Amino acid sequence: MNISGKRIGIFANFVLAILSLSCVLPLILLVTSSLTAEGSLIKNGYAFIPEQWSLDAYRYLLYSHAQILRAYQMTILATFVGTLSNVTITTLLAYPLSRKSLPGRNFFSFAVFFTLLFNGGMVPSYLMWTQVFNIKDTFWALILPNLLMNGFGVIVMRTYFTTNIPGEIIEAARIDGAGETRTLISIVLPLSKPILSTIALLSGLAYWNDWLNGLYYLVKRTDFYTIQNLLNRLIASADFISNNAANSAILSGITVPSIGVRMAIAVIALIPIMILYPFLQKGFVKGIVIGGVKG
Amino acid sequence: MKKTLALFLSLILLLSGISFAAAEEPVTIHVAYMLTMNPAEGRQEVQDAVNELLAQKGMNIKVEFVCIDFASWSTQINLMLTDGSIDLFNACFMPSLSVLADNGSLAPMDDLYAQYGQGILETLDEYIDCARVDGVLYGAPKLNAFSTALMYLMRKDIADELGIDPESITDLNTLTEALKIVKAAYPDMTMISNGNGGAYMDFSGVDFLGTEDPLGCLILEEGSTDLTVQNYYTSDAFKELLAYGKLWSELGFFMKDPLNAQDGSMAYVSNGLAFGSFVSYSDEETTVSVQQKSVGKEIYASQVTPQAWATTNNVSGMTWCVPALSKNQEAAVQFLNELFTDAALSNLVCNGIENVHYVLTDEGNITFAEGLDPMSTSWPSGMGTFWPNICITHPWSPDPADVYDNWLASNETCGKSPALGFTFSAEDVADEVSACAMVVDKYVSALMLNIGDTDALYASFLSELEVSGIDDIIAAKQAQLDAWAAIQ
Amino acid sequence: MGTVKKERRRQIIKHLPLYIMMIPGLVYMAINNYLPLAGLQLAFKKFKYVLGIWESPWNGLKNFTYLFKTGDAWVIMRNTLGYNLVFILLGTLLAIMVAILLSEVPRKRLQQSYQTVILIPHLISYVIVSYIVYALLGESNGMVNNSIMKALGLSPVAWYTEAKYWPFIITLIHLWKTFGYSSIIYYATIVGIDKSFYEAAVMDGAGVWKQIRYITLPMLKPVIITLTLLAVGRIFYSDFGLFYQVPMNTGLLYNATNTIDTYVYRGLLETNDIGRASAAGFIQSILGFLLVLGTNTAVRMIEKEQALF
Repeated sequence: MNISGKRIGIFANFVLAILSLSCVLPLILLVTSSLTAEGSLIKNGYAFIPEQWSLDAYRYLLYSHAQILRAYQMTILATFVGTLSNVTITTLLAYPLSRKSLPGRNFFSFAVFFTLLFNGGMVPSYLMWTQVFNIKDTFWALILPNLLMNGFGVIVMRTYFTTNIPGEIIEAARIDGAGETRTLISIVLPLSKPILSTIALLSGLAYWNDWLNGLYYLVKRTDFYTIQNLLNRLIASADFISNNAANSAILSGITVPSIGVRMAIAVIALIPIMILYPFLQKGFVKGIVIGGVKG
Repeated sequence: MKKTLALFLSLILLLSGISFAAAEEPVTIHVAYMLTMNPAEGRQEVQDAVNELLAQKGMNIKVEFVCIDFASWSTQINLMLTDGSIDLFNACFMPSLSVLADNGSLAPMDDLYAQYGQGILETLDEYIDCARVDGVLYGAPKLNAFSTALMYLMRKDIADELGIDPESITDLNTLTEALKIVKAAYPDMTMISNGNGGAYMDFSGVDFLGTEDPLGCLILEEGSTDLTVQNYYTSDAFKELLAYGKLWSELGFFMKDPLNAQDGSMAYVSNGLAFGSFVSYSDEETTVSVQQKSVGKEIYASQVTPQAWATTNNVSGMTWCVPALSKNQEAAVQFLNELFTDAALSNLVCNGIENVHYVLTDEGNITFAEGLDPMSTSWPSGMGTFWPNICITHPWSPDPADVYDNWLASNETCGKSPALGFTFSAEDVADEVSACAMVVDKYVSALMLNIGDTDALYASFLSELEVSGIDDIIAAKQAQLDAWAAIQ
Repeated sequence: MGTVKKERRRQIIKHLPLYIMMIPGLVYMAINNYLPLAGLQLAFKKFKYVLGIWESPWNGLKNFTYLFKTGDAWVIMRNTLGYNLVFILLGTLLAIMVAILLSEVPRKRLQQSYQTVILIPHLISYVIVSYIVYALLGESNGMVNNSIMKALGLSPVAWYTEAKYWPFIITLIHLWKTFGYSSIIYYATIVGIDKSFYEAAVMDGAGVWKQIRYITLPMLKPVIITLTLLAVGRIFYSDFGLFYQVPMNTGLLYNATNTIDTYVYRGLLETNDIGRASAAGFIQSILGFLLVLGTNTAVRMIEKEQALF
């Protein structure tokens, strides 16, 4: 590596370290304030080193530890199944759209783009998924609506294929007599690891963060709740108690640290994915490429 | 031979049993129930008990509770109104009754109540009319202490120490004088705490006439039957509040960063930062007994407005309704009638099963069964006030045994708005209501807390309300109110 | 004429395997995205629950009028478009910069750590962000007033009552929250660039800056154009959390924080009117759509290959 290369390496590290710090500091603040006594939080504001430590927020969440564990399982399962399907379907649509010779390419691209702008709203989707496809209170409610494929992913992947996969390679494969499926699996995919893992990441984050599907389609089977649904429920309960304790005899005697609980909940939702993410991403790309080669 | 006969007979019995059951197959109705702080794992148990009770009474109805989290309530109810998957629900945390009636989500009730709902009509008496929109009845408000008055709650220990007599505080002026004394002794303490968004006081003695904000209202005075709709924000009552706001802010009564408050206003009393807070409540005695436990400190309550008032807004906020798309409307109304009249049934849904979820105490109220608390009980009765008629159930400790009698008595004695029973339908001026709601959000908290250049803010507040069409709203309300009064 | 048709059919048959590949995606799109579009008619209807989507009566443009009733219509429009333009410009620049810098980090392990860490903001909900911002900007307890302003000898600022600071605050928060997520896509493209290009450039004696200038950026161009076009399509939308929750819905800041989405939310909070909500979405979509059509045509005229469709 030459000198300018070294210099930019240092510069890159410097800038990224500062940016990373701007991301980590709030996280630390989140953790410490989830461990701060509610009274001192209100009195002195947020601080990196709290005046008075407290585990109350986590104690409140401990009531629900069995549900939290179960919700993690559901989230991980939904994220895994959903992401795998998403990447497969997205690739299968994006690749043909990247082929300039495909008749109707523009029409289909437009159709994909159109879905990014227009949507019919919550009620028609709800009626369709529940009346026609009967997904209410099933596991499929977490997988199917909205997240299984996203036009954004398709367009981004199509752009990658057109930019980063030289047309000559595909042409050469054709001349060698490889079919379209063979070409995709053994020529294109191995060259597309970066975008595959990116789409997997986008989709994985979408599944991990999603709470709307649970909100709309899970009524009786709340045991299918993902971690986001459950955490929303816990936040709402904590708020409800802190705002309504005054109005109901039976709630009296309970105090819930509602701000602390929010912070603790954010921490609980965040930490596992931060830990899992690097491993998952690595494993995922390997899995796809190996699976592709074997198939 | 005997065996064959026995077999034959039992076969016949079985068959007839089946055909009997088929003919009399009970109707299953889905009743929405709100979960607030625990997942109600005993729902099956309570549901079975309810169904057993209904069977005993010879009713051909089965109930299934559809338990919905507070967090999802309005979304899921709204969605289920589009496909008729619930038959009976409490329209709380939902748009107002007039909106629900206007958008066709509720079934009209007049005929059904006449046939199956005598108990409902008798229980609610004149208050049932608060669930009428354009003369059509759409539901039954849950029985409650319907009136509210503005109270100031304060810490007893400090009040006693400084010799402040809560009985001597009867209006905002006497309150201000008392708070000055406290502020002098405790300069770091907040005198008037506020909740989310900076609001510290409900407007009291005002009939909002069916909108969330008093955009066109009746200002209530004892004995008055005046039905002139006014602009509250230009009224003397509001100007007086603004003057108090200014005074209080100059005296340092408000908390630091009031616009950023992230907790309920009583939380600040509870954690010792504030001396007191305003709340709206109907019954002084209950307020005190309840608040003391939740705040964890002994408190006094002083009513600072002369009269507790019942308005349509107060009454219809939690109304039990049947969706227009429900296929079991008759059964739903029959069940609702039982909820209003049958004490055993009402106790079941409000409090759970005796000796499982609660036990009777010597004081005539109930408390948790051994080893249970609000979080660990499997039938969270914290929402007893959610159900149609809590007044025929056992009160929870620390509420006194006669607490509900007091509620019902207050419904008799409270002031009643001359427009009680009138519901405004905002559809024709919905655009104006939207625009004005934003203007109110923009200015009112800052004005009341005396933040910024309040004279200039007040002037632009009024002019923006005008641009947004407040006069059209007032005119529409007046027209509907006059039409309503003409047929009373 | 006949030969053209025949040729086309031949092309279609030749590409049959590709069409078959597309089936799952197209079917899903038809179900998930196109069937519910029937709901768009609600923008022009008075929705009655008891009648359903198809039977509800038409009511012309009545659902749209509330959008223009407010005296703040101009401010709302200015905010929505202004913020979005700034976001697109600065957001893209920042994301590209971060992506390039990431690719220049020599140690793989370190690269991965950065990648993970800069995703944190994306994973924190705006409600929580609003608390963090308050921790910084609170008037009496905020860290900025208590530490920074004091150290600089400046008097404390009432951040939550002064609208003039908020265009900067909001832009900063938006950039902070999105830069990690947006840079991933650019980063993927850079990583996917054929290494032989760079090797050849090094042989020719090109330094890092030249490599970026002549290889990386040109390779990124299609991605930049695509992502910008997509962003332009959503230029009439705004992130509700950023404009409502982060300023804590403070009235005095509305001049700097009111956008179409927050106005619609506040306006429909009481009524939850499905028709009016659809109407707002319809207008936001159709305007964005027209804008993209225009931009796309312009791109197509300059460089046909880069157009979105």
